[in-house]
This record gives sequence, C-alpha cells and structure tokens, in this order.
Amino acid sequence: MVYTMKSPALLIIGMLMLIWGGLNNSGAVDGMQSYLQKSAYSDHMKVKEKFDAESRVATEMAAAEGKPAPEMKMPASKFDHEKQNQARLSFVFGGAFVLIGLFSLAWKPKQGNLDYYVSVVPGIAFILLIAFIVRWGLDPVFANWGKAVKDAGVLTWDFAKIFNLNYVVLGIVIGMVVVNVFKIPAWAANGVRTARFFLKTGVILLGTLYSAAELAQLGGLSVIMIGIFVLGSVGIVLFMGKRMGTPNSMTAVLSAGMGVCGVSATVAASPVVQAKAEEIAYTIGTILIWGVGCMFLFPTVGHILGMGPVQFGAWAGTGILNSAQVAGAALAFDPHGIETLKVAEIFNITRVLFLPIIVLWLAAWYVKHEEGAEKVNLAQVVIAKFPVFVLGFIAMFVLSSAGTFAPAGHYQGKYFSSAEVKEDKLLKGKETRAIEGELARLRAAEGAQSLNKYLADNNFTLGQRKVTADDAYKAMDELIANKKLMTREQDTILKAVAKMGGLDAVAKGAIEKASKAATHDSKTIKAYRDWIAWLFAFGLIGLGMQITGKALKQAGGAPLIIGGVVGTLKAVGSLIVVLMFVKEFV
Amino acid sequence: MKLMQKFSLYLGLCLFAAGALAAAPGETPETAPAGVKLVDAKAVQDLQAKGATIVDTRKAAEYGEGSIKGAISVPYDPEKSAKDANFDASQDKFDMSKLADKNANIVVFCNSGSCWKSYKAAVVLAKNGYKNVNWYRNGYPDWKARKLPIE
Repeated sequence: MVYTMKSPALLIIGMLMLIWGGLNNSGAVDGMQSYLQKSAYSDHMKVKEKFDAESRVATEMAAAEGKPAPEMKMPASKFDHEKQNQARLSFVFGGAFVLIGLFSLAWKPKQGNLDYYVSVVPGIAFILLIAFIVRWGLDPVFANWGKAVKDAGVLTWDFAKIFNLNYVVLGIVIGMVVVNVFKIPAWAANGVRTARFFLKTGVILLGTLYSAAELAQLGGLSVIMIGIFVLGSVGIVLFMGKRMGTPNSMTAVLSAGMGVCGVSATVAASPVVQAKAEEIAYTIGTILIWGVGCMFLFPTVGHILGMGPVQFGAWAGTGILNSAQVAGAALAFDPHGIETLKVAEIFNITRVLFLPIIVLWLAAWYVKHEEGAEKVNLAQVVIAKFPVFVLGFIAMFVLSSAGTFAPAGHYQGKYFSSAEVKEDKLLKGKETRAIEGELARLRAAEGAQSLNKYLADNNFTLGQRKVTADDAYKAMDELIANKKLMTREQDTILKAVAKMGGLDAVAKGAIEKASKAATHDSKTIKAYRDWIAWLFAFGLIGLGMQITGKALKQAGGAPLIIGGVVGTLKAVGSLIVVLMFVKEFV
Repeated sequence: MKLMQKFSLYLGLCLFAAGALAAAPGETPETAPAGVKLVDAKAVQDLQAKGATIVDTRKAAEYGEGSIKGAISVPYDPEKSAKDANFDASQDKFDMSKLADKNANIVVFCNSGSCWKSYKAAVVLAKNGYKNVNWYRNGYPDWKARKLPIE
C-alpha cells in the first residue's frame, strides 16, 4: 500500500511558516510581538533608550565639529533574539516543508520506506504549525489575560496560572477542538500518529531538570511525609483501579497524577504505561478540578483550625496536587507573609522530585499487570518489556544529579553561586550606603525592636533554627563588605529582611538585586527546558487530536470517582499528620 | 458544523487582532505640559550649579543602580494611570513632601521618551503650585551617553 497522498497542504503550511519568519525579520509584526513577548519587549525598550540617547549625542557632537553623523548599530535585545529565534525555526521547518511538499507533488510514490517517511511529514507539519500558534500565540495571550483580569481587580487570582492554561493544557484542548470540530484532514492522519514518539523524547529530556542533590537539601520531615503520601496515594489508586475494573493504563496515569505533581507527572507517566489520549485528558481534568477546589477550600479550613504558617504550608504542599494551585492556596492563606509560601514550595519541590521513583515503579507495575499470568517471572518480564525510554529518563536524571549540565545542587536549572556574580552586578556605592543606613537604624533600639518582632511574627527559619536579628546584622555587614551575597544562607536571611515593612526602598532594591545576581539559570538546562516544551506541546496536540467525544464517553466517570476518593483521603490524612507532628520547623 | 468552523476562525482572528491593537503605548509629548519648562542636559547642569533640586522619578531600585550625581529619589511609583497626556493622577503615588519649597528650581527626569513618570510628576507638581518645574525629557540615558557625572 502507498501511504503518500497528493495534497498541496504541506506546501501551503511550509509557505505560511516562511511568511511568519519573513514578517518577524522585517519587523512588520513588531506591534503584535511586543504584546505577546512582554518581558522581552521591556528589555528591548531599555536597550533602545540607551542606544537612542547615545546616537543622538554622537550625532550632536559630530555636527558641532562639522563631521557627518557616525554610523551606529543598535545592540540586539532579548526581544530581537526572540524574534530571530521564531524566524529561524519558521525558516528551517517552513523551508523543509516547502521542499518536501514540492517533491511529493512531483514524485510518483512507490511502496517502501521512503513512501512512509514522506507520508508522515504533512501531519507533522500540521501539528507543528498548531504548536507554533499555541506556544507563540495562545500561551502568552492567556498569560496576559490572566494578569490583566487580576490587575483590574475582577478576580483576586490569576485564572490562567491557576487553571494551568499554558501550552500543556492549551495544546490538548486545541487538539480536541481540531478533531471534534474540524476532523483531522486525511493527508495529516499518518503524521498525527507520531505524536507519542515526540512525547517520549520529551520525557527523556525531563530527567535533566531534576537533581538528587536538591532533595538532600530539603528538610527531613518533608521528605518522609511526602514519601509516605506520594507512595501511599499511588498505591491506593492502583488498588482502587483494580477493584473498579478500570484499564491498567488509566489507573497508572491517574496514580502518577494524584500522587506526584499533577499535570507534568501525568504527561511523564503516560507513555510509560501506554495511556490512551482520553485517559490523559481525564486525569488532567480530574487533577485540575480537584486542585482548584482545594485551593479555595484549604485556606478556609486552615483559618478555622487556626493553623500556623508552617503547618499550613506543609499541608498545602502535601495535599494539593498541582504546583500553581499550591502557591495559590499558600498566598490565599497568608497574602503578606512569605513563610507559608516557602514551606509549601519546599514540600512541593520534594513531591516533584519523587517523579523518577514513581516512573520506575509504574513501568514495572504496568509490565507485570499487562502480562497477566501470575507464574511469570517478574524480573524476566521487566527486563524484556521495560520501556527503554524510561532508562533514558533515569540516565538523564543521574547525569543531572552528578552535575553534568549545571552545578549539582540545581533545581530545574536554577542554582546559587557567589563566584559567578558578574562584575557589573556588584552593589554600587549608593546601594551599600543605603544598606549601611538601614543597618544602623535596625541596630538602634527602636529598629531592633521592630526587626525582632517582624522575625518572630513571620517565623523565618534557617534549617532547624529561627532567624535572629544577629543573623540579619551579620548578613547585612557581609553584603556591605563583599558587595554581593556569599552564601545561600545570607540569601535566605536577607530576602526575609527585604520584605520587612518600612524598609528604605533603595536598600530593599539593592538586596533584591544582589539576590538576583547570585541566582543563576543554567544555559544548558534552559535550552533543555525549551526543547521539552516543544516536544510536549507537539506530543499533546497530537494526543488531543485522538480524543473524540465518543472516546471520552467510553472512558466513563471512574477516574473522577477514584480521583475524588484518593484526593480526599490525601487531604484529610495529611491534615491529621500535620496537626499532630508539624510544629514550627520543617 | 460550518457555523462552528466559521466561529472558531473568527475567534482566532479576533485574538490576534486584539494582540495587535494592544501594542506598545506611545511616547511622551515633545513639548512640555502647561506650567513646566522643557530642558536639555546643558540646562540641567546650569540649573544644578545654581542649586536646583534634581529629582529622579524612577523606581528607588533604579536610582540605587545609578543616577545623576546629586539627584534625590522621589519615585513616581506605583504608576497605574494610562500612558497618555490625559492621565488620571489619582491612580498613582508621588510623595511631594520631600520637595518643601514651592518656589525652588526643580528638575524631574526618568528614562527618556518612552517613560511617562517624569512627565506625570511634572504635571502633578505644576498643578500643586510649584512655580519652577523643569522637565528633562531625554532623562538618564541621555545624561549617561554624554558622560556627565553619575553616581
């Protein structure tokens, strides 16, 4: 059978991409891009202001000396880089699609490998075009809307963030819209089936983002508590799924989602257990609905029970499933204090770091259960059927923990390093003087009193002890002497001081600047993050295209029930444990 | 089905049109508002020599990073009003208590044409009875490019 279909679609998609690349290069879409790439654009304005001023002055000086105006070129801003990046991707893929499109129109296909490879290209191009629209268009548009609605005071929370309306969810939704409203065009059908392959590649790369060293830095209790609850929820979901007779793949995906970290864990686990697209959609839907419900319920319960910031942070970080909603609940509970948010984040990060363990477990579990027969030698089956890409994921995780991509203590590529602080980011004279002024004020009787009260009220902790005023003085002294932060401890202490009310604005800005200057984002891991985002967007759009209304009906309501039961158990269980064991420290 | 398709297409188009329309706000006017004098770097130096107060209206952190030597920090912050000559000053904050003498020479500046803070601060000052308000529109980038004293 010959797979390649005669259709001009590939050629047209390629040309659309080339046009987008050209528009970006010519600057014709700068107005729209300035809205979509807001933060890059504000960098652009700064670079432009500086350049405009320099060229104006240079022209003036040249005119005064009777010389012609000098030729100057504006340095590239982040905005320029972003546009270049979009143009480059558009040209590379658009060009390739146009060439292959022309070739496939002229060529008389014969059965064989070449025919198959050519036949998947239109579908890949189709998904990639949608992925461009999702990542460069819809994702930033929703982020902007979420912020705008919050800033306007219509909602007190950012709906785009809380409902996870980023490229992951938007990709699935768009895929569903395409298949249910438009139907997948025949020429794209073969390529759409490759989506799973790209998703797996993304999962392998996901391993680079985590590091075991970060786990060692987290508190002992958070690791134990999270360990029990993560593994416990996974176990209960697996057990309930079996009792209720849901398919193994459905149960396994749901267990990863309920146990670990919501949406990303679901995506990572799905190819491990060969989950169907609609099962992934159900799981994500269950997690998001559940998580949003918790986000509103938890703070109220916390206030009724009179929980402290550390207790509430521990509870939210354990009981709520999705990172954005954990942060949302912590902020809703305590909008001004930062301790709740910090504790919740520690628990949240611990939970995410359990992902590699869960992926391994599910891989073994799934292989065993799909084989069915009990007399099968588990070890043999696991060796024979174990998904190879999971080994890739684990290998990447090990390499990442060993510090191959970024210093070993990194979390998703971010790490603290004093030695790498750039020369021009050292504190300037005026900034150190402002800190000196504040230090003197906080040492004097009245200042010391308010500092002590502030530290006590917010319960800032450093490992197993509380942050004291002396810690703050010492850290400020050292910041003044070194003009940069030297240790992660200083960073923690001074970040707490910077949030204190009534602090001089210049001193506060200087501390925030020093903290930013010492926090680095590994370029390698940043590149991996970008690749993962593309692969996930691509894979999920393709999977979304397999979710028809009929498939959703067939999967039925079982996942909602299991999700609800396990979610409630986890929320109540962690509440009891927190109330019994968590006092002030993590 | 046809209707749904049309609707989705329309929605998509609207989305991008909205994006295009919400493009970057304009620059400040090239002329000074009523009761304010537009000045350049040379005039700022002369005024400073005569004892004028130089006011940095940018955020305190930006002032800390580097500013005109001898300037004081009075941030026009938060700036929530529209970037437009008909802005509503009641949405913003500008602490005038640091500028006690209403007859003194005052120079306000920020980050050149795209920055509205100094323009708005100048308008607010003039409206509140400050007699000698000067607006250094080209602001800090211009000052720095001329290699004039900064700190």
